[in-house]
Amino acid sequence: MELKEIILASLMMRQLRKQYDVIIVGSGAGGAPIAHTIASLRSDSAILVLEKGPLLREQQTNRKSDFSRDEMLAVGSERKITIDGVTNRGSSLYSSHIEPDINEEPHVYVNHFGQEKATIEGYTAQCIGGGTQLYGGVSLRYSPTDFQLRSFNEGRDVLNRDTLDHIFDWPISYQDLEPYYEQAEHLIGINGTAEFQEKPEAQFNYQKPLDPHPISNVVKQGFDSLGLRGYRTPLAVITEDHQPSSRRVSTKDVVNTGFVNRYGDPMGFKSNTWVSLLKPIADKENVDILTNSSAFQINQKNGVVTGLKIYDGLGEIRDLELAPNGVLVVACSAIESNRLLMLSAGEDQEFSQRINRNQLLGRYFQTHAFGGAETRLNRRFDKSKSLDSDWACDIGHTQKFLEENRLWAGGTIYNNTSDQAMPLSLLRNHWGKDLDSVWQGFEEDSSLWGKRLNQFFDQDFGTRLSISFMANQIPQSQNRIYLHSRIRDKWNLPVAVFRKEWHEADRRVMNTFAELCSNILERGIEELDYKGEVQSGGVYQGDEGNRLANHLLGGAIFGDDPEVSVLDPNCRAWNFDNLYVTDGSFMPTSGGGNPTLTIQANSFRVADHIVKRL
Amino acid sequence: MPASGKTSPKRRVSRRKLLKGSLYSLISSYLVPNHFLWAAADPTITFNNNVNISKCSTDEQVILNLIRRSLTPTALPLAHSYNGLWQGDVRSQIATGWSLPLIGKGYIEKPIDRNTVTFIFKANGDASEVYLSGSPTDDQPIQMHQLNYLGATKPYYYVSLNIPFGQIHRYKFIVNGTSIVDPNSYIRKRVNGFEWSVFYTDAYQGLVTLNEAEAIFLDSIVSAICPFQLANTNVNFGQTNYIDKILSRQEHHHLINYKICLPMMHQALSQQTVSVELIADYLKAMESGEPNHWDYQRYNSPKHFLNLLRRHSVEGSFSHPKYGGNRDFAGWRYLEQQYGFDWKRFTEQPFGTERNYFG
Repeated sequence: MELKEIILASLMMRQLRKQYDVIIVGSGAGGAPIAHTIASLRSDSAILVLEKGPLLREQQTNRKSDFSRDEMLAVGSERKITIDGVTNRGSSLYSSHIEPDINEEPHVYVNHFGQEKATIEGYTAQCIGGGTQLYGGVSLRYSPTDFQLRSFNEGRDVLNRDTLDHIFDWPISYQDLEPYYEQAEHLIGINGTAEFQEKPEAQFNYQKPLDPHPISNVVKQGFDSLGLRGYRTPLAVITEDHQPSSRRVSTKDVVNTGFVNRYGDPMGFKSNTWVSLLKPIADKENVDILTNSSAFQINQKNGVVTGLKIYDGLGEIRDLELAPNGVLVVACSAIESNRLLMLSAGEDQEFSQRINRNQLLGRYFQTHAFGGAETRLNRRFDKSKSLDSDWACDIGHTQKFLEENRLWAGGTIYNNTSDQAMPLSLLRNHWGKDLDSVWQGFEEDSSLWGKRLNQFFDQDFGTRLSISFMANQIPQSQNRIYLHSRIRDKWNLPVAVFRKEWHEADRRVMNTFAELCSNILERGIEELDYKGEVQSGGVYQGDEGNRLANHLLGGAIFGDDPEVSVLDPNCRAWNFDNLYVTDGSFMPTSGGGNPTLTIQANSFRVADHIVKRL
Repeated sequence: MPASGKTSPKRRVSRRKLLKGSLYSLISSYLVPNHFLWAAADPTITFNNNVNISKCSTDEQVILNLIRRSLTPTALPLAHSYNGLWQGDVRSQIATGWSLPLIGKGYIEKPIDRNTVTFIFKANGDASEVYLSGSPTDDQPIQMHQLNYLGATKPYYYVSLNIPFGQIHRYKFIVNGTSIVDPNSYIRKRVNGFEWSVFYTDAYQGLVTLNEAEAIFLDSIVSAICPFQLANTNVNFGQTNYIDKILSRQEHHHLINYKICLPMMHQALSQQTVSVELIADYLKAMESGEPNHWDYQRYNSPKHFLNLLRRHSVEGSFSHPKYGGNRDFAGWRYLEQQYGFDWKRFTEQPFGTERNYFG
């Protein structure tokens, strides 16, 4: 056991301080940058990072990792949903080893017909590092237009007035966030290329990407054939030594294993917020990290947060106290952050009056308009030598594209290299099923055994290639998060419900992008003289309205105007002195790309603001 | 070949051979042993002793993770009761109780083929003396440590042992002088009239839930579902062993499906020599027709059971060998032979070639 490991182990067990200057609820993309910044700049500020899940560690010199190259960790064994009153009671449930037990802590999705369903989609991961432990690492910046979609659509006749009234410009611009994107890329450790990104005059901080996987050449050829300019997808995976987090890449041979999306990385190459931001500060005297502990009530007096109540690692209630002038940061992913604010409002009338003054808390819940195209090639590749994505393209962010296709907003296209790379993931994601529906395609395709199973492997193993788009979703007031009136979690607290329906303009975005994705694959296949039938679509086409891509955004949106936002431009709750929300909740529009890097960059920005007031 | 169902001695499949997967796989037909008994008989288990077992330090973060996941109080007393089946059992109140004791990875040792097994006991009320005793300790009680959390002692007791892969053990806790089974762990067996808690380490190859007859029969079905074969050799991929393991812990709730459906399938198929083709015909009927001898009163959907068999069979083919299937990486080697799947590259030594990843 290394000395540092001993420090970390004991740190989890030592006594808590009586008061903290900064308490951060959540250790993922929204919380970790703030802890890192304050710990680096203010050795006199006592910081507590609270995390609901465990600390799972990468491999040390003499220690095996808590993660493995093991398909059963991403989708484990079967359980049954036992919650009364949901339509999927009795259905199968599968989850990764660091997602919560849905029977104990469900999220409920309500569809258009009012049917309620328990779902895993609204969780990222519960562990130190949060969703950044399991994500594929795609670390795109948003485009300048993504920050100003109301202004962009004023004067165009793409959206009607009613729709436009619910779209708000961000109170900050791309230029405001640009230095923080740079900072995030530098400190977190991201590989990619800058050329051909539609982000003007930007500086990027990228490590050199690995050679692309040969199967991705289909996408590159498709881009070239259509005159699209691709760049190497920025990925939060280090490919060379990373000085800010003291990580070393001893061998590049196995940075790319196919155990990427939905797997924690045992080697620490994936730049989750634990290895990149929290571990480097974890042995500082003024930093405490409390794992396995969840907040359930924020205490305030006259708009000043004084502390919070938590269940500690043994399930006992504790009170944590903020020092005078202290700050509370809530960053436990959008659904749970909104829930914490609502639970607090339920216990404290003044809290409720302050947070609910404009009745917007929980509203404008969003994910992305997403989907793509896929094919089965007549060539076989070893997809286990892959990262999550190789090539991306910003055509969908250009003015020309948005005008030609009469789209209200844009998105990014990138290929998926690691999906269905492993034998079990090929089977359990059969027919495009994932998360709540995992294994269902395999079960429905009931002749898939015996000879047909052999044929299936002959045709499908190492031959499947998909390309995705991630585009803005229209914010709608009725898409929202609220507390369930009846269903409670294992702590006897109301669980979160979410509603999310698509807007007509979302369908248009998804159709347009899906068709483009389809064209890219078809042209690439043609250029290389391969064969392969292409299928495409957007997520709305299945009966899967709850699909969220684990991108949990909105609910406590920020803005300049206290009448139409929950948070001010610094992500501080209006009517509170020291309550900040920094996960994806703050986004008034969802952005045309995967959100993690933008959440991280914004948290670095908010951290600068908090440092000044401490 | 006679179609009488009688077993010729030279083709009788012994359990030893089944588990080692050698001769057994060479025969093209699966003969049902004469002594086929469908009593709910447990498999016979020979427990290991304490050879190569050592006490080791416990990672307290791991203890905390385990407690939070499985032993904290819940307001949902029947959440894990398998629809009331376990009503009144304390295990119906905890998530992933099957993961107790924790069969964890160890620190790097030479040889590295060990698990760090962590036992944990939550005491009711005041200070107790808690010991662990059983086959890993040669029935010598060893004291468990009391948890210290955030500066205070708590009523949780734990100890960790390094135990080689592939072993099975019985154990008890001795709490203030009284010996009890682990109230939270799933597997219990009677040994010489006494009930013990039982656990096994990674890649254990003996039977735990299915008896020998059931396992032999199941193996023939699994071979029809997953007709994978390695070139120039006949190794058993170990799917049946995987199923036996998952039914003992993670998917214990599915054991009843096997106990009901396997006898019906056996009754239909035992009238003759059971060739792979005949089994396939029967599975086809389960998929889309009305299989013979199926008692719909007892189990209303043969297709549902087929789906369960299918999922378990492929998981047993391709999941990491630590789960008991994919024996000697046969599943991954098959994909390597057929499709160039370079599994050794990302797999730890000595199984694969990756030197930097410890597994």
